[in-house]
Amino acid sequence: MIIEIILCILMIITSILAIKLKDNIHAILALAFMTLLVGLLYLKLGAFYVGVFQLSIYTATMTMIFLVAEYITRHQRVGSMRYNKCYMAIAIVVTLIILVSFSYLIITSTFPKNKGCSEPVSEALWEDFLIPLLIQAFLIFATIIAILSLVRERVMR
Amino acid sequence: MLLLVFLITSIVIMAIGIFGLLVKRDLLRIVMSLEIAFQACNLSIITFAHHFTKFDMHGRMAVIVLIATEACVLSVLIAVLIGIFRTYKTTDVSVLKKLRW
Repeated sequence: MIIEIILCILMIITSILAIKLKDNIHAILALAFMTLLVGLLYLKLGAFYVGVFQLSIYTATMTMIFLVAEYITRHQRVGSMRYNKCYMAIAIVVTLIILVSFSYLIITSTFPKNKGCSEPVSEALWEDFLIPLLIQAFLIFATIIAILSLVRERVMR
Repeated sequence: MLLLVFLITSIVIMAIGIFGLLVKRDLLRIVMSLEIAFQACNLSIITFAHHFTKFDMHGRMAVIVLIATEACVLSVLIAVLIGIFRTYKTTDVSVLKKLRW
């Protein structure tokens, strides 16, 4: 109970930081931390597959995409990115916090027999969510085409 | 009690995301605010699914599908951002006055 409340408070604080911080890189890091906390909360609630999806897609992939977008738009705006040595220390501390908290949650969480195994998940995914899954596959395909058409270089005549 | 805490948290996070959507003028910040709002939505669905155990697995699968869909939406928005930056050399939405470029 206390861990969930602490996670909720930290989520609110980091989401406020993601909005209010002036530097975009700091804001993106705060957002990554917020998505990490949400993933840890999912793990704590016993939704292991959702937690792993959250950590892999939002915390890892979307943060990288945001950082690349920020780099592309900042590179031409203010010249080159300033490298600050304290970023490395912050990255090490954050990584340690993530590893310790993740290990603690995994150790203390009890895998429910009917919810943690893959059989009910696959049953729900392939029987009840078959049409959304197919639509999602087409959506990802359409997304790839849309991104390619949006990002391609335009030939000026 | 836990349901109430999570619901209040998701409402607050949704309010923060909508605030960012309305107030911020940088396109990257707008996309980030949208992601915060998505997180609040996912959190509320998982909370209800956890509370009403009959729909627990369905809620989780719905959130997994939603996460992939939201990632697609955010990726397209980032691509739009890069396209806008190439054309206007800025990501400030107050500068954008034309829908075509």
